[in-house]
Parts: sequence; structure tokens; C-alpha cells
Amino acid sequence: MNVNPAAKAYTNLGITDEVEAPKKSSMSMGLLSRNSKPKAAENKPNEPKDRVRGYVSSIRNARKQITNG
Amino acid sequence: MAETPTPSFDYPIPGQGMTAEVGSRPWQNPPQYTTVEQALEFYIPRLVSDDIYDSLLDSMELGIPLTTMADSMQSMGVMQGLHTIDVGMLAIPVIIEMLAFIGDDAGIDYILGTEERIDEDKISESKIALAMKRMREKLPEALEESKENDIEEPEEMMEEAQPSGLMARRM
Repeated sequence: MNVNPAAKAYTNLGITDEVEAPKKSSMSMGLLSRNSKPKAAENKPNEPKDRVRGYVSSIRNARKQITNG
Repeated sequence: MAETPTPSFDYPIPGQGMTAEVGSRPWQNPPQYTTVEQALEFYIPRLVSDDIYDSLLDSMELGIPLTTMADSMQSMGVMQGLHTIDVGMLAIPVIIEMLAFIGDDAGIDYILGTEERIDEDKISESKIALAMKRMREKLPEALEESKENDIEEPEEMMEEAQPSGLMARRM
């Protein structure tokens, strides 16, 4: 049984290796179209755990580039 | 006339070494770094500095898990009053990943420390009970024979017992 809190903190981050594909904007460019902007920035979670998840995934991607040559 | 020793009260009270005034310890004061980013700005440059880099690689080669190294680092930070425990716990995954990055970059086969250790020598009682149940199902006759043999053996021992009275015949 692993009782190291660091191991639990590392494994419970819930990082998935799948890369999210960028969504195509469905905004039409016509003259009479609604001038609505995507609200992706507002929906992004800004909790400390989410920020840590982002830092870890960015370092992990850099690490994968090293190991894959 | 013999002199009786007078009791000395200069000794420390048991437990005195573990007590201190509130606020005299670093972790009892407001931390130096209050956010994860501030704490990481303290840790990350140190991890790649020349002073620590070689000793980090030595520790990895010795087989010390990265989780243990990261945990001890953040514990020291808490003890020094750099950050609180919760900020340290949030910083741990980034420190571990950075340590893994350093290990990969140096080509060291390190231990991450997240693997579950299984003691192969220890067999759980449930497995033993299951094996016994299967054995009973597969070999009922063999077990009955062994039980009969166990019962017969004491009878033989009884037959061999000799009378030990004064008038008993010697065999």
C-alpha cells in the first residue's frame, strides 16, 4: 500500500493523454449574421488544481519529445 | 553524617524541546509564497541549478523515488515557512514532472514512485482458503484416505504400549 501523499497527488490529477482538437467556429461571416464571439476563455476553469494540471501536461509533453527523440 | 543530595530543578521538563511560543516557528508565520506559481518560481530554478543538479541525478541513480524526493522538498519548504502545506501539495505534481524531465534529459532510469508494490512472498488468507476449497472439491477421496490414516496411527501406538507393573511379563 502506497502511503506517500506525493504519489497520490501526482496520480489523482486526472491528466488524459488525448489532445483536444480545436473546435471550428460556426460563426457565419455574412453581413446580417449575429456578431457573437465564442466564450471559450470564460468557460476555462481557473482553479489551482486546473492550473497545476496544465503545467504538468506541458512539462509531460516536453518530456515525451525527449523520450521519443 | 552522610549528606543527602538536594534535588536539582535545572533539568529540562519532559517535552520542553517540542514546545515553543506561538509564532516563533517559521511555519506558524504567514508564508513567503502564497500561490502555486510563486512556490514553483522558487523550486524550478533550483532544480536545474548547478548546485543541486548533480546531487539530484545521483539520488535518481541510487533508486530514490521521485515522489519521495518531491515530498521531502515541499516538507522542507513548509518547515522553512516558504509556503503552506496545501500550496506544497499542489506544487508536488509539477516538481515530480520536472524531476522526471531532468531524469529523461540525462538518460537516467529513475523510479517514479507511483507504482503499487506487491509483496510476492505474502499470500493472502482469501487465496489460501480458495485454494483449499478447490483442493477439497478435486480430491475428496485422497483427503478421506489421509484422514483415515491419521486416525489409524494412534491405535498402533496403543498396541505397542507395554505393561509397566511389577508383576507384568517382560516382552
